[in-house]
Amino acid sequence: MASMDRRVCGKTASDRVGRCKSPYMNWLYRLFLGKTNTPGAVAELADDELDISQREDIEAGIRFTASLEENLKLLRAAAGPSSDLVMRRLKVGASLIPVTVVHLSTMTSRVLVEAVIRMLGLGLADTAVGSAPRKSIRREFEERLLQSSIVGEVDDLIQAWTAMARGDTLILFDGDATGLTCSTQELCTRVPDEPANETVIRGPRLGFVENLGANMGLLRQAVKTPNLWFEELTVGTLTRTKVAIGYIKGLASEELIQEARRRVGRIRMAAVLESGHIEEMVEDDPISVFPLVFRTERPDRIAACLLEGRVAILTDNTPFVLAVPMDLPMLLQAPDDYYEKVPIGSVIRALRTAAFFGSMLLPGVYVAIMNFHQELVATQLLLRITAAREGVPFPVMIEVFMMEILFELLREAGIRLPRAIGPAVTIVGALVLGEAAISAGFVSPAVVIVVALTAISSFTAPTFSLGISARLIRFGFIILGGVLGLFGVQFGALALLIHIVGLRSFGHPFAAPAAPLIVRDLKDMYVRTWHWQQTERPELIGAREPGRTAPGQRPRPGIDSERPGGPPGGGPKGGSRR
Amino acid sequence: MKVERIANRQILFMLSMMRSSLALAFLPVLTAGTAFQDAWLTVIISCSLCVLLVLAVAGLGSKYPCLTVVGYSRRLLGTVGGTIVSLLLMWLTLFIAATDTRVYAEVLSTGFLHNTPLAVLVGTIAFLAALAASSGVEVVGRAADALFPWFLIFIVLTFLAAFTVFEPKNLEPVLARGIGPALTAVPSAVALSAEFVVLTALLPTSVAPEKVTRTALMSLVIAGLVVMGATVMVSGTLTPWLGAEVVFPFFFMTRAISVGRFLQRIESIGVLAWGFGLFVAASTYTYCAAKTLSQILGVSDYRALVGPVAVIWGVMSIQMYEDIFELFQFFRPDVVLPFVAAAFFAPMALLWAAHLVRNMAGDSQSGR
Repeated sequence: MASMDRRVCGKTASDRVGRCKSPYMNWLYRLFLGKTNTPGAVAELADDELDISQREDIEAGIRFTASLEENLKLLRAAAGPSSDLVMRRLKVGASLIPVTVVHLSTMTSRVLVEAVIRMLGLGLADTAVGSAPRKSIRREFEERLLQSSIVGEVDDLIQAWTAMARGDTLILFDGDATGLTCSTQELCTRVPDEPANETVIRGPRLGFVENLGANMGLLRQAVKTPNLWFEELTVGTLTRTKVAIGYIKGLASEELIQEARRRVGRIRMAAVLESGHIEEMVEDDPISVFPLVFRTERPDRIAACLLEGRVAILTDNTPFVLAVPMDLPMLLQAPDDYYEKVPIGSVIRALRTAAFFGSMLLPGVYVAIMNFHQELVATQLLLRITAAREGVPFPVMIEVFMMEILFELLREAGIRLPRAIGPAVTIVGALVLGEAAISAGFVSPAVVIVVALTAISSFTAPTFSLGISARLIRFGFIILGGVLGLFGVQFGALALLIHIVGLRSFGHPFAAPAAPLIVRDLKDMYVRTWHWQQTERPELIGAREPGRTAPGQRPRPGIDSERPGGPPGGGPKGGSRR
Repeated sequence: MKVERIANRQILFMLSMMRSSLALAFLPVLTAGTAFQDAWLTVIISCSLCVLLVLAVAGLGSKYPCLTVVGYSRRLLGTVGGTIVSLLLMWLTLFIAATDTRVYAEVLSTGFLHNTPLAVLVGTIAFLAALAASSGVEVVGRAADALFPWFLIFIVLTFLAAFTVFEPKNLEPVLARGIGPALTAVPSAVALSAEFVVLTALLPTSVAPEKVTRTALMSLVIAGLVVMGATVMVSGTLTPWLGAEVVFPFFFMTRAISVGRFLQRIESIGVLAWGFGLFVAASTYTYCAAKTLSQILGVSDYRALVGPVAVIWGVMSIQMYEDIFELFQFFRPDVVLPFVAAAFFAPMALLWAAHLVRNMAGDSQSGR
């Protein structure tokens, strides 16, 4: 881990945050600061005039020395007046060697730290380990006494601080330039519960939490093969956020893993606070309104992605986990689809897909028909709509545009308001404003119906990121429908199509399996077939190991209920056709 | 520059939609003009003759699977001769794109957008085609993948809806005046197959160039079925005599459909399908013309020429024909056949002759 830290954070701070210094200055910093003795570094760090990149440059060059006091001064100088940096000084062993236990009290478990102190105090008193020579006492302690499963060695300031910031305790021995770290973390996190944004009727009630380790555990809970591998990287020069790339070795393509490693590894930014930061840095087309990286809070969805041969990217401090590559159908699939009976799940999915496209096109089509193609509407219906529009002072396009904006405002207000009053305000707003607008003759009832239908359709999108894209695109269709009628809507749809089929997610076509057409994969697109029929993984993603479910598992009745005593024809069918 | 490759399935969809689009607009009226209720026979005969044409274009391309027409025509006819032939075929591609688009724009203008200038409609289609072509032939192929099922569904839906007003007796008596009237309209129908000129630039992008001939023939069959269906439905719905009179018989037929009291007018579905076909066709023409031109001029990236090419055929589309009647006149057998013979059949015959002479001379070097 430490070496990985060095690999990612190995550049100078100015490189990492993109701040330019002359090469000559960089050379001088390396030449002098890299070899600065501790008192010099302490003095440097005490200078209030240093900006962050200069401080980081100095810190990056500091290595521990054999002097415990100097090392402690260094740590104090780096942390400044931070009150949570605790240093517990001890004298251990037969020759009373000075040792200091250093930790951040806000990140560690007091019980665990005290256990470490007890091990040092009691374990080294009057024992063979305690009598060991000063030079080897650290190694003896680590190998024979330290009761911790995760132990590391650190020999510079950055490594030591990064470990402590994750909840480790640092043990520094006098006369030894290498310190020991052991895991004592106690982080503020919550119990995994059902994600509020991705609720299901049937399915696991577990969601990711804000802790990387816990999230990795949730995935291990679902996928127990030892071939589920996680590679950890550290991203963010100031936040030093842990990021893990997860995949099933032998299933995910090596090119994909390499690409994920490359894209995450090249991130040079000061802060990574959420997986959204990672997403923006690794996606293929940052201008597109469509999400090109899949994100979810549900472990079962990420597990399903991994089992198809995709790669997951987990970020510390956020419950949102990313999966790549992504395609459009993934955004229209809800977890329930796979847990419900096939006919029900399929119909609901088809309805949802139609609703998604409807939510984008409906207002535009309404405007187009009312402006240009009134002959397409049945006469009686047209008369009713026209009569209801009597007296409305705005053109249809403006009318629909206004109502859509009003609806978006209400929706945004509903999200931002406290949960207790949000729904009340939006419902009241919708009812009062809608009713008042009709009564005042500003809008016609048909427009309110169209906008309401659009809103309901947009709520069916199982992924928020897709729904928000549709919201934006809808306004374009309203304008095109108002200017060029259905031809304009068609123009917009074709332009959108060009955009969508041109998109790629980690090199994978976003519109697959519709474009390019992969007939085999269509059975899990607009509808889904039975699990026993989905014998193969998606062609483009799971090409490395296509087989997923053994063929011939269609359930067949093995016992004829009308003939008690045994199955007809000598035994159960099915399951043997391999 | 990245090498672009598309599947033969995508070429099949592209060619099928391309071939069907213009035929849907004109073929029934062109054939019914003389054949009346026997128009379906014209489609069968013309499709059979088109097979020879497809074999000629795709067959020659297959001999040089890594080269576009610029490459093999220069090899066969020399730099000057090859460049002239390539320019001629590229110009033909632009001409067809312009004509196809003009037809669609005229339908929209006549049926829906009476006050919208043709330039706006043509410009919009040209813009879309340029957008798709500049994204690459892979994107055009994927768009064809996505649109072809909808194209077929909309066409079939239109046919099914037309059954409500379809009168089988309108197709009788069969061959009452012999086969002669059906044959007279064949030249126009065969001339429309000049669309297959795109294969001269499209073939090297195929993942399996050796199978492109079969793919092109399959597209001919699919398009033939669509067009024959349209011809039969138009004749059966509008009567052969009315079908021969109106300018856009397929569009006119869809307007006559009334399904129940609510769904009274479904012409937009037919026009939508047609629009999908035209979009794929125009994008393919633009790509092929830009690709050919870039190789003639020695420009490394054809994308730089996509915009100018789209502008050229857009302007041609507006300027070439005074009105829809002049456009209609162009498709008369005595006009369109000599034109296509000069611009397409003759260059292809020349290339084939050169290829055969070269082979007989013992030079078996190919573009592989």
